[in-house]
Amino acid sequence: MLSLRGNPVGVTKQSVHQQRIASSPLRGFLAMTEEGKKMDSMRGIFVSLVLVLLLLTGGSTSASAQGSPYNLFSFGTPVRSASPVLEAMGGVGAALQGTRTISDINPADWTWLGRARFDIAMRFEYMSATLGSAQDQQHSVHFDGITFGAPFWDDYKATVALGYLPMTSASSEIDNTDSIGTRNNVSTGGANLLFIGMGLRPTAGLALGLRLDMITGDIRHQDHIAFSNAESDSAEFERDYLFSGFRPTFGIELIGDSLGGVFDGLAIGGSYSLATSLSTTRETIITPISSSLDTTIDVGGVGRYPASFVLGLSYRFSPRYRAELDYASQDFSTAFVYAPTSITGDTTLRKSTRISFGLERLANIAGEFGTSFGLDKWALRLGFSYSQLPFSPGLSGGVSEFALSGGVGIPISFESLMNLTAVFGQRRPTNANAAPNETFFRLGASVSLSEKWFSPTRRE
Amino acid sequence: MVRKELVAKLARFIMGRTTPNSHLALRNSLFIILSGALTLSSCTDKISTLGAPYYPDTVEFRTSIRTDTGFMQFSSVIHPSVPVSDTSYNLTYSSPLMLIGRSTKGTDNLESWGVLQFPVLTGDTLSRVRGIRLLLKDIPYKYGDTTTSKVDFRVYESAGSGKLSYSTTQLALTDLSPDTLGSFQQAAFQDSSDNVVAIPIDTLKLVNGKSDLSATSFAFVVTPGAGMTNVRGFGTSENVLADANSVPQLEYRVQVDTGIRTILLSPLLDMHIVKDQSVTPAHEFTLRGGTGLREFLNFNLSRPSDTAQLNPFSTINGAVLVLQIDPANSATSNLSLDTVGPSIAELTNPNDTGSSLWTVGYRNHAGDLAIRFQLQTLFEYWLRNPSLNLGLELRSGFVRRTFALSSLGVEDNTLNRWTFYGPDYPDVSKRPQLILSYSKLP
Repeated sequence: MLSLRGNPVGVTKQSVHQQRIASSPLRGFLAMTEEGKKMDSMRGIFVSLVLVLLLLTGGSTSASAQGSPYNLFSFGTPVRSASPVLEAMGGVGAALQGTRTISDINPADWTWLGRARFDIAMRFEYMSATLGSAQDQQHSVHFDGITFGAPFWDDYKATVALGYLPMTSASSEIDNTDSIGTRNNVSTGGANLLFIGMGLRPTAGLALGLRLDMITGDIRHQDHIAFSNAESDSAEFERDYLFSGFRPTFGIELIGDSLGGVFDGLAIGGSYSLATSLSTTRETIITPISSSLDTTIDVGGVGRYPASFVLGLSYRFSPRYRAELDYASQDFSTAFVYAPTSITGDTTLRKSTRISFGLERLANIAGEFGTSFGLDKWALRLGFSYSQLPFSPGLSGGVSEFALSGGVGIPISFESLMNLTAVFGQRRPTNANAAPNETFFRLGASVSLSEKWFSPTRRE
Repeated sequence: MVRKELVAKLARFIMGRTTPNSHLALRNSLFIILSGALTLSSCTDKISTLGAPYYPDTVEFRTSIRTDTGFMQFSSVIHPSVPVSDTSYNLTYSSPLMLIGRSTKGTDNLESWGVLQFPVLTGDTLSRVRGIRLLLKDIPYKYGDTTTSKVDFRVYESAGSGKLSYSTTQLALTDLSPDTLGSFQQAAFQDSSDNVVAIPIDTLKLVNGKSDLSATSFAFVVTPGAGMTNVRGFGTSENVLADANSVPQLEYRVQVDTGIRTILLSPLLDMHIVKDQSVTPAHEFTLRGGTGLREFLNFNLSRPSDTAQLNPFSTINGAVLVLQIDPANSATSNLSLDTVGPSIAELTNPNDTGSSLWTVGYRNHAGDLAIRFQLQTLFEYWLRNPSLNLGLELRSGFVRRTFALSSLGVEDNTLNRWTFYGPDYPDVSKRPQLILSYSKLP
């Protein structure tokens, strides 16, 4: 018999653990031998990760793909950062100085990574929107990306990173029933970012980063029609916008520690991503009742994803506490998902800006800030952001968003963290009642792995 | 205390302190995240039309009732013959059912004559003939006055060489011998399978004219007598596979030495010729079996000026053609299958030599005077293949027969009369309607 309060006489913790493993379905992977403990531990983590990845990606597709009505515009709502760590701090990250976070905002910040690290994230979002008498309450669960970063040249803090992240969310659902019948529209997908890049510090006070981004995605609009007339059959339509394009992202960070004095703990960072010309295919799939008449029509065209610019200022005012203020700008008025030939832009979009502020108490995983226990080891994060969203429907005068956020980073083993984030916010049009008023609540979670076997390769 | 312990346990579970191995802690964390996600994903939602103005690919879907002649045109056609290569056949040529009789019930005015042609005996055998009977075998069928079982038939010979052939579609009494060769009357002739009508042929009359007959063939025409008020069905040689006993025969009683022997011959040709003198009221149209009287329908599905603006990728969710029957000018046989509804054939050849059955009309409830035809997938097919839109034919029936190795659709086993109100009928509510439901992406 096992006891959670204590071990029976003659039973050590190790033997209890081995008994548990022996009864586990994963015992084949987790069985321990003196020589293979380390390898089996790695296998166990990988098996767990693979299982979770499969479940997350499966779950994100099987869960109802819903979301804000604003997600229906163009590429959808931009995901400022797919990292729950950054999102907990209002989305700051241009000058993060993140030793345990792979920033998706500024590649120059990767130079702070102390160890190889592997992040995987997901998010849950719930929104409630109203416009006149119409009211929506929708939710979605999304896979929020996977990233890997590894320092490889200690002298220059050179670090390579790669990952796959969501850039926008186009998920939303509409139900429309009238005397003719019922129409259900489901939008899913969005733009994604596949990147690889490198950051390094040529001098102690300057970090540079370069990232090659592949913007790819599939915005899928599925329509199901059911007539109230019993003699009429239902039908399904699908229109996919499949796009891809490449862009470089440049990052820079000025590190005040190198200057000392009043600049100690200060960092200024910025990143710039060029506008991206997209090759877009508009695919229309018509599924009538007679499957022999199923039709797929592909039409080639172009699209454009706009350039973006982020500037951040951070200050570490004690060894464990830091704050950051970011400003981001992206002109979506020139963006469009698809057109047969190039156009000036989507008239429902506009320039988007964002100001965000975040505070963080760093995690004390390895006791680097002294001995601490329990919650004192956790990282704590708070943030605020105000955005002018890229949407400007009709007479709305544009839509703004403000959000409060918070989160924790929970040490879960040697150098690994589980990060949890909660964001509460509202979206309001400038002219009330001209567009939906929306309240949203978002939960994010990630696991940031950096185990003993992620040993950095050092060059002397 | 209990609560504190639970919190402590949870913290240990999350942080993996219950064991010295980090992989269990990681697994626990991932398990917590996953469980939370799955739990939250089951939240109740409320979906409305709120996002509809921002959805760029809204499907247009609509139901409209079309009666306009710009969209669908009707025209009556009659095709009593079936063209195969350079030859025409009476459309009843391959029918397994020979219909003989008369209907004057209500506004009906129809006669159907049986035509049978038998092999010629050699002159020597013919001279030994002592008696001839024409044997017709009943197949259950009544059209007209279905309450009576009285039969009254007259048998004539076809006068003149080559007058009667498989392409004959019209016959008048003047085309026949002046006198009958035989007749058959019975007050109650049971309408049961293979019940035999045996009509004695006057051999003297036959012999008198045998020089003419022997030069060609024995061709008989069976007409309804004055007492016949309905049409009855008999088997033909085409029915041999279904019922070998139903094939008509010519029975010879031949003198051989001192005895009499019976010779039975099957026909070379057996069919019926329908003569319809019923009058279709103005602004109506009629479908009549056996005569090839049909209604041709043409649909301009993708006219540029049409309100529906259908395109090759429109989905047709429903296309129900609704025709209102004029019951006073319609009649069907006593076969339950015949009462269902007429057929609609898709023309597969511009000159009407090819067709395929698309559907049979149906009623929403028994006694409904509206006959409906679902044309949904055909319209979708035509939208995607506009060159194949050769129109439709409403027919009294549709069955595939073989004419000179060609399989063609005809309405040869029915005399049903379907009269419908036409597209210009004064009462708009009785005009043909097409209930068209469609959807399409912009």
